[in-house]
Amino acid sequence: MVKLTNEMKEGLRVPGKGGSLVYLATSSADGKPNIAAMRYVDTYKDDKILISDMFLLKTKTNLKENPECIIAICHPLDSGRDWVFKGKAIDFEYGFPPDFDWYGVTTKEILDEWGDWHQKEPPDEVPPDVVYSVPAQRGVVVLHVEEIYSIEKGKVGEKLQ
Amino acid sequence: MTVKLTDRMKSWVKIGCHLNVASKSGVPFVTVARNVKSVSDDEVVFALSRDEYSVIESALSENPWVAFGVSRAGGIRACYQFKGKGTVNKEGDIYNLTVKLSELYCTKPGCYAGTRLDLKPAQECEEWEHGLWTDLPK
Repeated sequence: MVKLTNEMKEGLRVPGKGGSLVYLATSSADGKPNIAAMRYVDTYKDDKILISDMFLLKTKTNLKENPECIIAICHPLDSGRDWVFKGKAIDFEYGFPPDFDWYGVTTKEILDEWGDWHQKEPPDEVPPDVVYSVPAQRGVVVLHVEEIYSIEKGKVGEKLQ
Repeated sequence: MTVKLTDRMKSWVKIGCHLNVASKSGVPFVTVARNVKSVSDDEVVFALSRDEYSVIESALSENPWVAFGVSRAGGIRACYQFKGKGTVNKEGDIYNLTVKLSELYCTKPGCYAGTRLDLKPAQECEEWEHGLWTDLPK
């Protein structure tokens, strides 16, 4: 059973609060991969990573047919945060039953806290030529982490947990 | 469609990339490619060390699709996703992963997210990009 360390939890925060930009990687059910960078990231309990569903397209489609998912540190890289988190994810969208459960967490507890992430943590540090013009959050992706491996130079693939 | 990377894309890709491959049944595997050996208009060659390659070896042997984005500051500044099929050749201790690109997407949050850049004529794509960004990696 995975337990995110305090160091990992500090890294898995929005960059404006000292966290790291991450890559969210998914695949269609028949094996076509997809990868996109994400700014809105947080952790919950000891084995959940949260990502805002703000402009997800293919990622969202993939998760609806295949929950296998990876979150990897993108930036800064080589700063001691050389981690890849692997597990199963779902997009808790608005409209899900409040008591819908995903590995021990419910729609209500996730959306109550992170359902308006733009308001909670405005993207003040994001450059104006990259930031979105209007927030459009439709849910929160929750990754139930089952495995953590390294992407440290020389140790890529080493299982950490 | 035909992919023609812009000069800006080629510059960013060279700083290294996060690669995502998947098994036939859809289990993803992510590795980091720190060394880019060459970049042409529609092909990128990553020089992977043994450990970098080992993560994706099994999936790649059964499914050639590779998706990648630029590492480090490229995750913010280079809002692209590249997709294509990969082949591997071993050269000494290095595994050269050649990805022949067939799809190119914009990942800028907002109205351009998911735009298929490979469907635009090359000149139009370049002008569109130039209207958004001109910065190169430092």
